[in-house]
Amino acid sequence: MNEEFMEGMAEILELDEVTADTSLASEDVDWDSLAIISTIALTDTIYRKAISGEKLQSCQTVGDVISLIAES
Amino acid sequence: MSRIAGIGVYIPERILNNDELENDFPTWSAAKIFQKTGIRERRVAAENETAGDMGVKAAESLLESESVIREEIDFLIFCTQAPDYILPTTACIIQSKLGLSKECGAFDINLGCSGYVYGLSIADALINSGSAKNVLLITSDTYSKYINPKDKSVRTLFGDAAAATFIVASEGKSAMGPFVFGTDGSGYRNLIVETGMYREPRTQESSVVIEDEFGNARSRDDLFMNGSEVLLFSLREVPRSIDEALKRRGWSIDEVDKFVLHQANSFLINALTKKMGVHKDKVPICVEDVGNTVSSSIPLALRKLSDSGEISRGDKIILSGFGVGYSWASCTLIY
Repeated sequence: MNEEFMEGMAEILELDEVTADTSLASEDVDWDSLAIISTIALTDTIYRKAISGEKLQSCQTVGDVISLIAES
Repeated sequence: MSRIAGIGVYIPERILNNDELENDFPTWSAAKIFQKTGIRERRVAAENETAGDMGVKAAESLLESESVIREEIDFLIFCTQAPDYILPTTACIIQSKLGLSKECGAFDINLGCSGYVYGLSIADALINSGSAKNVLLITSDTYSKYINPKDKSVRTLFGDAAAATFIVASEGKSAMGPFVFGTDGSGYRNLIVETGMYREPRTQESSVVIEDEFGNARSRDDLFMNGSEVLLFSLREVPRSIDEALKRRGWSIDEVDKFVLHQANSFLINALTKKMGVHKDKVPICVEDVGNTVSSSIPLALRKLSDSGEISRGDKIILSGFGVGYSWASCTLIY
């Protein structure tokens, strides 16, 4: 679990911190189009990988996002 | 060799600011819109104001302020994706409205965000071949007319504007080129107005407004943009395109004074800046007052940077336009 990535995700989700279990579907979180493209950019910067917006949309937790990156 | 001798700009009167967007879309505050996109305001063409009208105004502004002699213009290129008519060519109408010589060549090019750099390449080629001496390249678009008012994704980003650039033979240091081009039509669906032309005429069914998974509503007659895919495309192709332009010119990335990229939004420009590994100060962001003005975004930025002294004659610049198509082009430029 890359610390820089987790900090980036916290910033995107506007939370103080995130873990793999952090839900993207909860009311405190805006998993909207802006959050998704921010995550694509963050992933490119840190992992140099491209992940699809469509697949990101169906992620339920931050852990799902991390798995998606690992698979690509 | 050719060079840019002057740039005139025109932005329509009506302003769409973030407060108004916040009213229409309460989940995005005015502050959040600015924070995420870098945009505070964008302009909207009047109902009866076409891209052609705006182009004429940008050209008149250029002709008034610079030492450009109207009668000497011998080629006019008009870049738009919202022509006055299906036919005739809008550039022909503009030739007449501007009172240009009848010896002038004129045509339209249908390109979006890559249009300015493509336009420069054509002007450069015409001059280098001796076919023209004084080229007027007008870029102008009214994407607002394609946007559904309930689609916050694109309504937030795009603005209407026009720019008129005068290109002549290079005498001293100022020169443009070489140009590198790119096209990937497999991405055509990711920035599109699906209906209204021959592939798919408009129907009752295509006009039905449907809400997408993000709460944005549009019909298939309206502009659609898949932001994720367009971002992925930009990250994939733009840095490579710029590297190729540098290689062909024999410049190292460090000797570039400014990278004037297509001004899509602050988010995308920052992502590209990080990917290229260059300093933020070298990659200006000029979207705040106008948003994404499609093919006019680069000339509007050049004009702004030149007026403020952030770029000066002799500066080594990279231009890169990229987007709808997918289409992209980059070049080196000594301003």
